[in-house]
Amino acid sequence: MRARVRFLSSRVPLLAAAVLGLVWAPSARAQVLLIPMDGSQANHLRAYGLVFNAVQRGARAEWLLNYRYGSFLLPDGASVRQQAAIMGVTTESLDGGRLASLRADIENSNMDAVPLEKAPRIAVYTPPNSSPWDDAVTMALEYAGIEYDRVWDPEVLSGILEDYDWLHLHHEDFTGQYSKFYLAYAGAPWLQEEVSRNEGVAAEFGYSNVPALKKAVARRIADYVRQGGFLFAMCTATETLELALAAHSADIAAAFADGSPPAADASDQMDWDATLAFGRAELVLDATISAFSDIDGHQVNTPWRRSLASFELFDFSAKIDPVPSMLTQSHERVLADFYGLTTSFRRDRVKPGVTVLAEEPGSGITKYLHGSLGDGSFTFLGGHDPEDPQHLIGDQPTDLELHRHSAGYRLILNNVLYPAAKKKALRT
Amino acid sequence: MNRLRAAAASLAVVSVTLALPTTAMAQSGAAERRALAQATELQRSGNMAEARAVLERYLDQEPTSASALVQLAQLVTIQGRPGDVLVRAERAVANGNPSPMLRQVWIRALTDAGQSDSALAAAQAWTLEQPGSTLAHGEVAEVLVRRGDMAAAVAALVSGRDATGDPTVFAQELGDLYARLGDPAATAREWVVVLGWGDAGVAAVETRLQAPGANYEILVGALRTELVDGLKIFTVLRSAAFLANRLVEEEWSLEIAETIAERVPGDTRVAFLRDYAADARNHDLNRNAAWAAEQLGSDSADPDESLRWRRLAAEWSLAAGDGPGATSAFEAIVREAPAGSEAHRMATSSLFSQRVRENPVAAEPLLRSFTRQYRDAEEDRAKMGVTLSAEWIRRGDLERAGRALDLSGQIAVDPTANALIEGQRGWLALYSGRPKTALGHLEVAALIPVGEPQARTEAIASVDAIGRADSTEAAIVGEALFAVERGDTQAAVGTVTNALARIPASEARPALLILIAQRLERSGHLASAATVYRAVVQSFPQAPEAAPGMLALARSLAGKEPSAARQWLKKLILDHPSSALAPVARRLLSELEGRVPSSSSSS
Repeated sequence: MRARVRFLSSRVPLLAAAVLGLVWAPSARAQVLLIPMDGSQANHLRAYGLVFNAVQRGARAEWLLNYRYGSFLLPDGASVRQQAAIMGVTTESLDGGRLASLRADIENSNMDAVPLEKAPRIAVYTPPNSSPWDDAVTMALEYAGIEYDRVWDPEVLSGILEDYDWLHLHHEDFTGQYSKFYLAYAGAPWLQEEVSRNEGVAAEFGYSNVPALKKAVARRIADYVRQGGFLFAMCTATETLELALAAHSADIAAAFADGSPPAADASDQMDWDATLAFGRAELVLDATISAFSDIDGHQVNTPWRRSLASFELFDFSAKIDPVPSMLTQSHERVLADFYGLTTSFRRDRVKPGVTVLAEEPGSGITKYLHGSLGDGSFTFLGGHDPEDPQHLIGDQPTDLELHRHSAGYRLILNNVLYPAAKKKALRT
Repeated sequence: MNRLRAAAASLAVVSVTLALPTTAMAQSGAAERRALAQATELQRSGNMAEARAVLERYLDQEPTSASALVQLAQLVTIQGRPGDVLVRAERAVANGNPSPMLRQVWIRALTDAGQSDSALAAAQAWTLEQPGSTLAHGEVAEVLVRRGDMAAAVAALVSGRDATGDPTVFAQELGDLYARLGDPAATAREWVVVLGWGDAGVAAVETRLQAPGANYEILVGALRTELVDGLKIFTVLRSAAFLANRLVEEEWSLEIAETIAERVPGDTRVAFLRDYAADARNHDLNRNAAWAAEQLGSDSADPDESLRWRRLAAEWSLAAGDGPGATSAFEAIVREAPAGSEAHRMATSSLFSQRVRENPVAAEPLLRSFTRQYRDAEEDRAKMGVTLSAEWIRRGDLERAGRALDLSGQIAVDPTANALIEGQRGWLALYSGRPKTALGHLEVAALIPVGEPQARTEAIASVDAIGRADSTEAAIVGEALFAVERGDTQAAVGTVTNALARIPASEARPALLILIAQRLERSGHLASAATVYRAVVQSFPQAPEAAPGMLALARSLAGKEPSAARQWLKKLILDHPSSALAPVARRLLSELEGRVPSSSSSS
């Protein structure tokens, strides 16, 4: 099992870290490539892929937090230049003098240089037949050229998550109610296929119904985090994962899913100590309403849906809070909001100790959260697709070639890259 | 889950549902409305138990409130306890003189509680008590359907039809049951009745034909037979024509429309044809729309209206790809419209376009006549002249191609017309081996900032290339381009590989080769184009023209040899990083690597 990890504290002076050999410090004569992440960058999203793949091939990179909106340093070389040209990523060559000046700027400002040394092994939890375009993260990974594996319930239950450093969940409904589309889309072939597939897996692994299967999968995922994994969840996976964990002793699923109606007092039976991020939520038990609880601040598929506004990323100290700082690197601080089956998170449902990374100012609604559980950590981002404010079933897929500078997609890719940051192993 | 599906299916079969009648709503008192609204709000917010409690409290006070009972029945069904409403339903009915809705709730609650014998007895008793009630007979059928006894359900509905004395009642329900029993002829018989309802009937039958699992071919066949065999009234046939449009059954739709047009006289016929033309257009059945427009054009006594319909007939025939139909419509307009009128001008020009490809000799008098009658329409004349000229070039006759331009007359003021004629004269000169003359004409065409962008881009590129080439080289290129226009790709590629290869290359050689390759590509000769593109990128890899060559090669290889295509794209990006085509190459590379959805994908 993975060792417990902590990020190298940036309170260690940069010079001391360099002396200890913890920070990559090229000689003054060596040429390095700066991957700028400000307005001069021709393709922000592919820049992450360039850095990720270089690190995967053994290069030691640095993430320059807050320097030109989160730029990167890579060792110069024909291969990386060629790759950058093919990917359309802007690079700048730095000589020793410019590099020294850059480091001085970082030392004297709210900036830091975080070494990136080992590319994480990535798993995406998704049904076997789903298209990459169903999920913003797989779209971002595909577009940036970052390799990943697909896993689903059978693999999770078989313990495969131990092989991965980073796990992504998207619009899975861990309450086992098929996103409550059951009544509205009862005749749709895709839903019939989804029901059949889920029921098949439940039967194969000896669970009496799909909600029971999903609860077991949710527990495995929580265990994965406790043991040191990085979890990134979006859309309805955030909320339903939490509900599935809290409902270990409660029937919260509609009769169509498990053959029995939900417990009338299901909200009172929830065990919020079992969750990662949320607590004290009231459930939506009506099978005809495609919403799960009052955790979501927008409730997109209900008559009382909240209109979209914008959300603002918080500023963090790069040297004191490197992780939240990494997760919020962006060339835009205010982003247009986007719906998902779970769009946002009510602040009064967020547990103490969870860091809010972005919120809709003045509304009591958060969008982007980060927290720790055991030896691992999790990040939740509400909404389905940062470049499609209201994605509908059957809509055209988003073409990221048209959104090369998407700040929303940068948030996703920040999450992909941050487990590559240098870690210091500590004994538990 | 299966229980839920079965319930949904049975409700679909017999449409006597638990919908709240408006009369009941009107009779609801304020207290009832408050209770129902409160329960709805609680249900929406997920508080099912409270919603149920509100309804039950109200029903304790008003046990015969049909609206509250219906809402409670829906709520307990969602909760998976449909039988829970039975006691209250029984109590409500027992109060005497129950409303039809209360009886329905009670009978369905009995079925939900597994007491289908009691449910059937109750429904049958209702029919005896009120033999003319369609709801009562519908409930008998509903119980039988939920018991799985379709044949008995049919018998119940047929008996109900007899009892009510209305031969059209239960047509939809009987159609559904016959379809489930595998009797397409009987299904079609009922659907013909349904079609008699007009638009609502069309929608009902269409929904059933398009439903997943419906035996479309057999059911449509049965419906066609039933419509032909029976003596059908106009309303039914009209609905059937519109149903065929919705199903995009072109032949069947036209067959019905022709039958109607033969049988129905006067204003009814005109009204039908107008509606039919519009509906056919809405469903992209252009041939059918054109037929209706042609009928309307022939029928109309008003010359202006007749011409309008004929124009539409021609336009829609063209959209349907029906050349002879369009030609016939244009000929009629040319005959009927006054010379000099807009309709006549448009029809002459369109008729010319139709004729020119079939028989350029027959098109010449039309151009001559057009030039004489419409001297001010310089752009139209120029386009017609260039079209005829291009057709003669395609046939290898450069002399008649030149004369075709003369037939379009003098161009006095219109710059677009001038650019068209000069461009065509330039190409003719180049094909005839006179590059210097060609250059003069093409320069004029290239300098006029109007006209079709692609033609102008080609003119500009050719001026640049021919201007830098020596005359022998340019003449050989003209020969190759002429071969492309004639469709003789072998000769075109042979000129490139033999004649051009034997003389020293000027600095313009890659640009000249690109001209030939692009012409081949535009003519659809992709393999030959690829040969020429390959010659460019292999012989002149650093020339700016190599970039379009590499991109074109990558595109041609993308389908069958994606890895080779990717290599060409990477080479383009790396060797020509500042080319305007580098971003295009990155996009295509992303698509080939599956990193972005394909431009042609739709899901």
